[in-house]
Amino acid sequence: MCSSACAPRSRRYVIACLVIPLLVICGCTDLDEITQFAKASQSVGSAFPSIAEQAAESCAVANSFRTPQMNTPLPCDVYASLNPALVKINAALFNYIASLGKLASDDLSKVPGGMDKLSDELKQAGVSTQDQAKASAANGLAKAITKIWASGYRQHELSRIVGDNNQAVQDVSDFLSDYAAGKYRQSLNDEWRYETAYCTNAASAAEPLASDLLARKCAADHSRIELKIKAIKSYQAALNTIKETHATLNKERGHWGAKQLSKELGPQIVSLGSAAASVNQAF
Amino acid sequence: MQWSALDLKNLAALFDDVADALWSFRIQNGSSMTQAEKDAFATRYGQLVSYGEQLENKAVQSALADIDGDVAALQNATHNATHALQVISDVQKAIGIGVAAVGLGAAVLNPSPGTIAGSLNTLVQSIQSAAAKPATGASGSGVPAGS
Repeated sequence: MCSSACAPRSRRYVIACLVIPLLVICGCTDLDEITQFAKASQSVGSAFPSIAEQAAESCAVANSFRTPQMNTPLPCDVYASLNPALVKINAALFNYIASLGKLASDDLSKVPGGMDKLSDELKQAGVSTQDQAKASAANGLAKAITKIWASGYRQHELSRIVGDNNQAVQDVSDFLSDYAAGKYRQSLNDEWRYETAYCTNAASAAEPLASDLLARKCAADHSRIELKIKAIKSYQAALNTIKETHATLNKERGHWGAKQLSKELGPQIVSLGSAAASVNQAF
Repeated sequence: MQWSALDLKNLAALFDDVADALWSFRIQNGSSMTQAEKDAFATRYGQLVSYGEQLENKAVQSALADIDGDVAALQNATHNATHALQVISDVQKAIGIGVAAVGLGAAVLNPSPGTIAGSLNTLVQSIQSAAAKPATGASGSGVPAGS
């Protein structure tokens, strides 16, 4: 009785079953740019412990340039307690960014699962070829469903986490840039302040050769210190990039588009790459 | 008076600037100074630089106390992101069990020697794989918003 009425309905049902998943897959934004952004930031963050060590070393070197006239020691003992805390804060920020990158990754193979070996297991279990085909089709469908689900879930979670933590990212980035990196820059500047004072005071017209050699040594040290200060400035610039990018992601969450993400995060990824090169050259 | 972290940082920068200005004066006018004057400049210069360091240290320590809550928030967020990945993994495993059950169903409908036992074994392995690393609290959050 219902054959004529039910047939179009069941056809519509089949079409809906095929089209809706396709629409969902196509509607999910590719978050690869966020993954790339997170990867690019990691090599900047990983240099921080070396910067911290260098600051303590600079303080000790500065004190080695003290003279009877300029004999006020710099307080180097502070680094023993300060550095572990600052390294931990840097790690908190960059681990957070790394976790965003992993969550944004669309490569499900990075997520441990139990499905991939199923076809082989069915074969080994002695299931007939025909039944293996059925099971294999079910396996393919299961993967598609997982992909649809995981994409939506991933975007939802990523969006929520970015929204909940934007203020913390802004505050921690500012702290690391203004206070932590600022402090380390001061350490390097003070190494140079003490060294240049030593070089100036020790220069003597009575000993031109020794004075010339000392001036050359001081100039070489100045170049080395300048390179490290430049690298710390790059680290600070990278923090600013991270801060701005996170703010952009937060502002546009809920309507991320692949094209827009690529347009906005592309230059930031390049900028982080340059900062990483500068930091890793010096530290 | 209670100095804020920013006040201390600005004050440290001021001491550094004064130290630099003093040393600049010493370099420019060194030829007309006596040794005693040069020594006095060097002493003051070292003291100013050291004060700048001490103020900067206080600034960082003061700001450290303020930032504590934000750091804890980021550590929690990192944990949440890792947990979200674990949820995805758990769903994959759950679907794996469903697929294994389909294999068992096919074997039951078309029985041949060993197929049912083999498919049952596959299903058991899938369940064991899913149970190997259960995510804490994953079950309640397994559905994406809007799906």
